[in-house]
Amino acid sequence: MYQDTLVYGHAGTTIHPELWVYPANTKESVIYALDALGAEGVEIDIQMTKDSVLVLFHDSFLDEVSNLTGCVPNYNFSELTDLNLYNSKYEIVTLEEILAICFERNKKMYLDLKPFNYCIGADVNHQTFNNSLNKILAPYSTEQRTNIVVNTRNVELLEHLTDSSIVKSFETENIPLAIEKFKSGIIHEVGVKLSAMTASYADELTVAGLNFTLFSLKSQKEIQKGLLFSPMRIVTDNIAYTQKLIH
Amino acid sequence: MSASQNRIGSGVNIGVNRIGYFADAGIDFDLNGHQLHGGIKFYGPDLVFETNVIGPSLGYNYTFNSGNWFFGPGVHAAIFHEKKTNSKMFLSEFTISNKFGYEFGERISLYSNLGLGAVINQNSNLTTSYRSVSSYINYEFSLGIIYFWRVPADN
Repeated sequence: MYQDTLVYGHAGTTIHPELWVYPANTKESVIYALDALGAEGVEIDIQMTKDSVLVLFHDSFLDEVSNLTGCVPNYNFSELTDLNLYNSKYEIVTLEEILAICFERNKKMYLDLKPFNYCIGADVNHQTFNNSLNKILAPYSTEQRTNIVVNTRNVELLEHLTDSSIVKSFETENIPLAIEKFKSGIIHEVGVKLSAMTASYADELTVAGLNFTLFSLKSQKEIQKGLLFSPMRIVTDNIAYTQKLIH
Repeated sequence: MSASQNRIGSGVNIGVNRIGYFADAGIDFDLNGHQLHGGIKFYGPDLVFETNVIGPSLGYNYTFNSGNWFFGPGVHAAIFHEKKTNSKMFLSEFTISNKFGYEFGERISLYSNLGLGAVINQNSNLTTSYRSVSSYINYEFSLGIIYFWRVPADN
């Protein structure tokens, strides 16, 4: 029934500290998810620094998980390299480095784009974001780039992304709006939280021909429930258990 | 009850660590307080393993007794192999532990066990044969029971 569902690790392996082997959105977490647990891909959170470097970072403010205050877009990348991330030895890593790790393993990526700068209450420049993304995608083939999904709540950002090979996903709980955007040709897929998904929404999406990714699946019960909707992709905090159910 | 005794028994301990829930069953030798364990450790599918996995386990504790109570620092190791959907994993775990328990006569020993150690994974991707090694700190807690079916009084 859902044997074709692709399994992605959440923020590498998992976003939840109590389940960490390695912290979320670190190089070590990505490698562990792909090599040790055999995920087909990883979901990672992307923000842009002041000097337009795309990095992996989830939180709205640096204070929450590091020794720095403020927001990622307020710092140059060089200022973030000594970040005391999660009070540990782990470092903030660039998307460019993770792309290389994933592609050398023939794995896929689900990029959760976070363009909003909470420190100034506005998005980073969308065109600059697009330019930064295109720059690091340039070395890769069209076929490789089709294995990248970019997902965001911000449709305007998706409209600024000019690479025609990547898959554009709109994150929303408003399924009729997602179908409308899909029919307009603005998006290719939709990303939905498990808590917002229903059988009737899944049917509507299937009828419309709109593939969807489910996320926020942590417990075994949530993973079982999520797979019943037959999503194209599942972003899970328990890769091994999800693979067990699918295969 | 003193440590000067030779006993052989069978035991099981059940617990949880960062890999998941486990059960370890085997033979236990008590040679004047030197306790050796040889058995099979089992993990169910959860955060690390996709299937039920078993592997050999070995352990050693030295027990200090005070009346019927005892504590016993020691070391334990186990290894596992799993062929997953897209990868292969060879997992080894090494733990420094401490047992704390109570002897009910010569034959029955009940204990709790706290451990701190390391897990080393050697992984390979099945489609590209890409290999890597990952390691992390592990901690565990378990409860166990040993029934000594051969005690000095049997001789």
